[in-house]
Amino acid sequence: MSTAVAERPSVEAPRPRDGQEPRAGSMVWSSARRRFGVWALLLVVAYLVGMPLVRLQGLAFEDGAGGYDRALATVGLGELIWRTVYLAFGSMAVAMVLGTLLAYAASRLPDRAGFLRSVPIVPIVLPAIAMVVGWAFLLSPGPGYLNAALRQLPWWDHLESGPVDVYSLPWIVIITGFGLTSFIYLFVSAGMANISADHLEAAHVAGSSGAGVFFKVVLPLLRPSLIYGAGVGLLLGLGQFTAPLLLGTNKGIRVLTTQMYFSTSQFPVDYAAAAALGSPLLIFGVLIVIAQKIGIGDQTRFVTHGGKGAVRRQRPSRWAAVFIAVYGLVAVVLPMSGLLVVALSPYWSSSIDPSSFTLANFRTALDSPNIVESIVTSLVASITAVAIVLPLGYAISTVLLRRRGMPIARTLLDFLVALPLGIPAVIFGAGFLLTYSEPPVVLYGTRWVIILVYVTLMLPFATRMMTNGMLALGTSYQEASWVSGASRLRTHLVIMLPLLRGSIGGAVALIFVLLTHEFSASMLVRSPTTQVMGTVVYDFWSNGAYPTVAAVSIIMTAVTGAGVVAAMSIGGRDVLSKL
Amino acid sequence: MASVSITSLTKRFGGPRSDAVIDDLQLEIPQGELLVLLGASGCGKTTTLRCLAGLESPTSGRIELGGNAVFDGERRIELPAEKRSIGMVFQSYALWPHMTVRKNIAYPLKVRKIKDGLRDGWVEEVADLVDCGHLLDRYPSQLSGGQQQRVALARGIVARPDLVLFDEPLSNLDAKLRMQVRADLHELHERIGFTSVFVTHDQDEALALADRIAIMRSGRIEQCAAPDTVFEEPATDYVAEFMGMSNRLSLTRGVDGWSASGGAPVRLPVAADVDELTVRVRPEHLAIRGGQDVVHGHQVPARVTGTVYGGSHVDVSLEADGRRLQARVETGTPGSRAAAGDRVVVEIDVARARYFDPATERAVAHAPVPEVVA
Repeated sequence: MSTAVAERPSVEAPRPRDGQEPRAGSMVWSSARRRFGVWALLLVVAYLVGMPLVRLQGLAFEDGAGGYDRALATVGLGELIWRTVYLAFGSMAVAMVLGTLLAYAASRLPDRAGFLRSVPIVPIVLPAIAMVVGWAFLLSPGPGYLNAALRQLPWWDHLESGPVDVYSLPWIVIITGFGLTSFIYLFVSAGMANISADHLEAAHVAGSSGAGVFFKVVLPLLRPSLIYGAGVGLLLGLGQFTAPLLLGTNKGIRVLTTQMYFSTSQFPVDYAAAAALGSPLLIFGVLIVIAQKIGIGDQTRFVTHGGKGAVRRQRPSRWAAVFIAVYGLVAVVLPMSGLLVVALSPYWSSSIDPSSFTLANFRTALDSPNIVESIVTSLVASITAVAIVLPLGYAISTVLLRRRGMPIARTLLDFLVALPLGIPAVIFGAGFLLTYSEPPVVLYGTRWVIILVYVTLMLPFATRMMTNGMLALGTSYQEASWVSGASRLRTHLVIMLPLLRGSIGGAVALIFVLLTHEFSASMLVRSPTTQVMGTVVYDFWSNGAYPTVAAVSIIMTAVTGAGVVAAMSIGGRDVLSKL
Repeated sequence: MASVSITSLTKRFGGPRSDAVIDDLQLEIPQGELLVLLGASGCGKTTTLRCLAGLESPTSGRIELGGNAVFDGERRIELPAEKRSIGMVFQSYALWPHMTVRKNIAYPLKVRKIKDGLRDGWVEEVADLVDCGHLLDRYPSQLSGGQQQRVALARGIVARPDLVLFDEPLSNLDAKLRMQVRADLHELHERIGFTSVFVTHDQDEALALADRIAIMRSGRIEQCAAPDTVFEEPATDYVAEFMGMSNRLSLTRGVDGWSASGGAPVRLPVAADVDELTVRVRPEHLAIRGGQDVVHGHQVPARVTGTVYGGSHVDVSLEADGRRLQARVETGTPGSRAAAGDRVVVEIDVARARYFDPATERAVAHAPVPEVVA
């Protein structure tokens, strides 16, 4: 169309672009291209996230909903559901109390003890399976080290075993609660940051004690984050898999997730019933995600401009530091020590004999081709998944942050991306198992099915971290590049990527950490020849090879720890709180 | 450089029934002109600028840059920002922090593949032009606000674009620096004469920089004219108020001439067949008289409600028949000694006041001879 337009009079300086006057692009064409890109992205995400869930339900409804019929006929179904709910509410309650107290304590840490602030987050980045195994080594009724120590006490010295039985529902709840505490801590800390120190100082000046301030001012002001945190805690509690599987299996204490697993792995294998058993968790997860999307709405509303004002901290308290330190000892150091002692001992018994400590277990582990291969698979799958999910998350964030156009596509994308947060990993694992062990795409038995399920599980994290980075950067850097004449692609490569390198580096390390100790979904999609570290630990655990379990758990923790150190050195000390 | 032509430009952020942010806007900017879009916040001036840049999609209308349509709602043409020959200076400067000043300025040349410019030292040339030649190897974070501002300007004009856009570029500078950069920018424009559109809400800035000022209100242009015209002959009541004619009085036609309620009738230099007039007058053009003084203009009895000392002048707040008035009187004149509670007579300089039809809010034509209309 520009050919029809008369050449305008030339100006005094010779124009560098003579003869290549920009041609007017058609609105239809350029927007069609963009639309195509967005729909293609949506299709990829829908296939990754939606397909497994659709296949699961399809199977459950096959043959006149036969899956549902058999699931409803499960022996002790009522008790199964009751236990699941008990686990969810119980662990949520434990986590709410501990997480809130820890967040309050963290806000009152003295300056010198500032490093303690990241202690409550450590359980997130440590492999859950290692922690659970560590607790079992401590609190197993017979040879558990802590139980043995407790039996020295005068009022328990008559006991043969106990007094604590870690293989019981209450202790499964408590140990799960420890794991969830970190999440509640993150939510409540975020809410705490919004409470001005003035409110609290006013209460102190008015004569309230520390406890009075906590109950009468802090808790009421925190109500929104507490409610939100409780919702998330409940959701996570419902989907818990690791502790019930490792601790509950012996005594037949099953919950919905473990029952699903056994339906897919033990005779009689019944995928349809497993799919049906997962439905309540699926529906609850979807509802929570929808509620959260409606509640939060448009992300761009939360852009804040300018730096934060000087944050005045509350009166520091030494008790705050003591409380967090004790929590760290109990929740992290204790189970890790249990692991370490077993890993160094020739066999697991109630007495600790330092003179017999040996590295033989590590040597055995690293000599075993299965274990070495599982470590390699874990690393390769995690790294590949990171390499796939981050560009995907970047693209999704770019689309979601666009303020106008294609509202339906953007809403769908936003919803789909959030689903893996709401729906338990076990369900995704089952869905992937089902989708990729049948044509058209048969990936079962290869690393690719693990990689794909990892990509799917990490979509929300990758998208959230990229979105936060882009929101913090604002739009003017890229607009300045566009008006300078740079294409969209070039702007992403030359301007956005370098400016986002901090966020990207932090995201790489964090997602890597979360993936190296992924357990729940891996249990479902693994095959005898394709194992990851967590699944190998479980197999040795089932066979009673405890010293090997401990050694592999320690190796797993070391790999994760290296990732955490990398994350903190790239993304800064606060990187863990960006979850 | 090129001329700009905007025809019937409309922009809505919501559906077809939502309020238009830009409402059927018409504007012609000849080549080499610096046009200032002036208005209160929310009047649509920044949206207009972003539509010119291609950062915002208009709903309908047409934008031509140098005779070529870059947007045409009917023919469904929309050239994306990167395909338009524009430079832009942002309010936040938006200098890329990971690039040196040299790379920042060279970026438009590089991405537009202007090899001559890179070879012939346009970067250094334009950096010298804005007094930043010695800063080329620094990073933006090592520069002061004023220096960052200049670098942003250099980046905006280095590729010799058809049109340079300014989005309130001076609002992040402190008052003294702002005056300095404003003067430099004015000089620079005089020297190279780039076509540009400059958005601001500061009337002093607009008066100092503009070849023409377009005053916007609710997505429409109220008046577009040279700075002195806008200042002296505001076309509407709104423009008059925006340009500092803060006093507003209503006059009605009587047998002996025009009068405000309570004031003596006076003859006015207007030719209009209306029975009511809105008078706009600057604080400087209100005089305060004692009871006995001989007065020439229209006079209104008033009560002093407060005074603020301003050095060479005194600002006097008054109340006349329930209406607040502001007078600025020279220090030392009798009026400057007024105190709160005094009863005084306020005299309006009828020749320098401006008159508007209250129904249309548009200016009423001047009569050639002062006492034409009684």
